[in-house]
Amino acid sequence: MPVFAWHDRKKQHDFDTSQFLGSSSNTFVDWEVVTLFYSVLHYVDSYLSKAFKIDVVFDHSDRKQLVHFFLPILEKDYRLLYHLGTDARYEQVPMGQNELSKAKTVHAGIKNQLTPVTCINCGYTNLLNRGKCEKCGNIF
Amino acid sequence: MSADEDRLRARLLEELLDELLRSRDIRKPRVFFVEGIPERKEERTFDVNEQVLRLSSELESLRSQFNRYMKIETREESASHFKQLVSKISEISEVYTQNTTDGIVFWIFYDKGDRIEVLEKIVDAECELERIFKGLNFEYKVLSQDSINPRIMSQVELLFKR
Repeated sequence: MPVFAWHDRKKQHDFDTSQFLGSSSNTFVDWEVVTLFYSVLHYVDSYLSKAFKIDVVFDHSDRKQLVHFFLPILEKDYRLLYHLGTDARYEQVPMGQNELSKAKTVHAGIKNQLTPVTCINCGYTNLLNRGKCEKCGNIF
Repeated sequence: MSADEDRLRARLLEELLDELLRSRDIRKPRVFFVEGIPERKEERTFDVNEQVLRLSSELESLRSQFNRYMKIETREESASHFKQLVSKISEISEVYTQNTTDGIVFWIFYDKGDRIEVLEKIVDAECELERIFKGLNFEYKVLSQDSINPRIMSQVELLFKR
């Protein structure tokens, strides 16, 4: 299985986990945030693998670097979700509906931009959704 | 790394190489080929090769020491810059640095405002830092001055002697 295919499965799996945790109660808000972050992490890794053939990302620090270079438009959102995830997992800080809501918004934004779009005009597959086709300029 | 730092690095390495070559007098054996005795030529050429190899290895070791030094310098400069950037955020009341085996960790306290907004401002500072000092990331904890757990507070007091 290609590396990006594994990340594609994992990003959906982590998102489904987040949905599952939030489906019955507000008991696992912290882990909802954590799984949303990991879903985004796999969106990023999948994109790096598809677009630049980067199949090995060493750690979070390395990934932040790669996001800075290859996905600068997502850098702030990615780092914010990274910190929300780290706080939810390790720190003794409040993790409530505000944090969850922010994490969901950031996740949706990154998911939207990293979901490949095929241009109906030229058929080119845009791995990064910038609102218009990279090849022919057609607006999505 | 900035162009100035690149130039400084190149100049220091050049000076280092000159100094190394001068101190080892690598040019000396060349005289031998002019006045030398044919049957000893092969032996001396071998010596020179040995010397060059040894010097290359020493130079490589010095280069890595130098790079390590530059990295530490830049990391400290970067940490100080990050502290300045974060301290400018109006909600932030105190910033402390802690040296750990994994690097520098910042303890950032805020005394007003919404936690997510504060976090967003810190992330902005982090991204600005990334533009200046590429590849130097720091971990940080963002803690509310009001709701901090007493045990964490005692740890902070111990760590930073507040």
